[in-house]
Amino acid sequence: MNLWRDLVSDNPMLIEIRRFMRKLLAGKGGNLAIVVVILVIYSFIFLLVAEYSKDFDPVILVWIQTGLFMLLLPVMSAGIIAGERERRTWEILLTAPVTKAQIVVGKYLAVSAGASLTILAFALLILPCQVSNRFASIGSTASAELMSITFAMMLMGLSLYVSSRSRTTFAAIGTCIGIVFVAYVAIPLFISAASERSESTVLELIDPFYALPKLIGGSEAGKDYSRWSVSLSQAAVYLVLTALMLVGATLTVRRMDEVRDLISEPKARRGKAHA
Amino acid sequence: MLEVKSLRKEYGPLTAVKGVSFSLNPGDIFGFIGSNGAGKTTTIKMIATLLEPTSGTAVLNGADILGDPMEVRRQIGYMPDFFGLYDEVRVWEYLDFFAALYRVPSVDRPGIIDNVLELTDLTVKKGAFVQSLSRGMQQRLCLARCLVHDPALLLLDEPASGLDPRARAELKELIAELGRMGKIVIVSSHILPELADFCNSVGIIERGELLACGPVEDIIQSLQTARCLMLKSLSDPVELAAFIERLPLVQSARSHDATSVAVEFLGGLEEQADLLDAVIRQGYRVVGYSEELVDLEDVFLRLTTGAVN
Repeated sequence: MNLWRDLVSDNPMLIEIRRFMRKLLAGKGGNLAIVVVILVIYSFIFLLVAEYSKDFDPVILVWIQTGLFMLLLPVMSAGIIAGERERRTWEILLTAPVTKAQIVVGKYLAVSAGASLTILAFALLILPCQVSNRFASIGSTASAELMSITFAMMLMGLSLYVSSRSRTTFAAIGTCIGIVFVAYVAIPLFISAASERSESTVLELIDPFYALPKLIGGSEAGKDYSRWSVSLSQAAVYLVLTALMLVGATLTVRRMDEVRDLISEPKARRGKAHA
Repeated sequence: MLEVKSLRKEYGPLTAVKGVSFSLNPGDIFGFIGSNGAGKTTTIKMIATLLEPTSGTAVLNGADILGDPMEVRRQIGYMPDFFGLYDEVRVWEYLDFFAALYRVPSVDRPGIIDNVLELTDLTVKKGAFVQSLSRGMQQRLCLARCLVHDPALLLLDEPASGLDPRARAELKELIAELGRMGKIVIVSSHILPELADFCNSVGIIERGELLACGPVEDIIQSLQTARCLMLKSLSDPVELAAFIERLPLVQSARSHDATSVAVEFLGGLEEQADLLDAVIRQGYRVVGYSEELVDLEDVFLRLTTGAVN
């Protein structure tokens, strides 16, 4: 309970949610480009759904949402700590009466609030499909959504962890997208190619893009028995990974500052001495 | 009250700060003087709980930087030498964000923000975006940010760097006002004459060692063994210097230029009057007399060698 109070209910860094949302919705600079891309994609899907909602399996929309998360969340969240270092606002934040864990969790919750906007926007598309498509299974859609949301939580944790280790936003975003590409494109392709069996237990546990298609038309295919076991297993794995990433980010933030001081202070002194 | 006790910081083989100690009371404005790399910023960062000291500690109103860093943070306002501001944020939003971080109740925040904006003369910029402010205004905004939680101690690391003369003068007045409000202010700067104007005590640091610390006048007096007098006369300065050198309490006398003689004198004001009287009685035609006062810059130059770690 104390941990919950310290990190969530009584965390002064929750104010970061308001700042982050304001910045996100201001849609200026780089954010504007992201907002325009999202709106174009969203409008395209919206038109498709409006035209073919009766035949559209909502799980496909969850699949698209998950794909969007893969690109969007690293861009949205990877700079959240690295950006503070880059802008030189980090030191000011560290002298406030908040712990590093509170900073990390506050920032995580801020990004989560941003991600929840995407989830809400997709819910507006998924619900009509779910209602009008008589073959759509609520169980399949719900388990797919669970998988997608926990995957997003893990991605945000990963982005924050990478951000805590990076000095610039650009490096953080690049590293994060690189990791996601290797983990969710290159490795699955390799495993699929190397695996003799058509089914891969590892991918079923960690890769939503492997598991989600199996839920499409779930009720028709008679696979209802397995959909919750797959999504619950994935959700559990992602939640554990999220927790590990957040702990890692907190520890890294502490260590990074110590290492930075150890390296930069004597260096700065040498520079000043030469000057 | 702030008590800094033998603060020491080592980076491997390099000792950045070697056991710095001093204590300050409410209303004290402490000028921290030293060359680049002398250890000013490291000391300030240790007091601000950003760096953990290798040994020693600092206690602010009973809160120890090592034992209770959160309580220390609640009581300090820190302005780093280089700082950034959040993008796409208005002045009041920036202050509101930090007031919330310091757990200032939301009902009190608007009033407090108005007060600190008035104090820092930024009221007209309340709704402006922070990145649209001039450098001087951003500096004042950063100071306003330090004040939203009414700290007991302000740590200002090179607050005047990069400011134009007018902005410097305004900042100087603002810092003096903070001292009058009863806050302890530690200011590090290279601009020594400015510090001398409003600091009631100074610390001179070199290679991590505090060479002198205390009220400005005391430090000057402790270094000034002899007064430097300047006599201007219509007589031959070499001859006049030779005469003065024979007088009591004169340490040395030499011709300064074609009309002046510089005298190092060990006496007080009474003895100075006697010296002047003796010179005039001897027939030398004195047209000017002054005492060259030692300032903070002279003290700094005398004490330090310019060496860094």
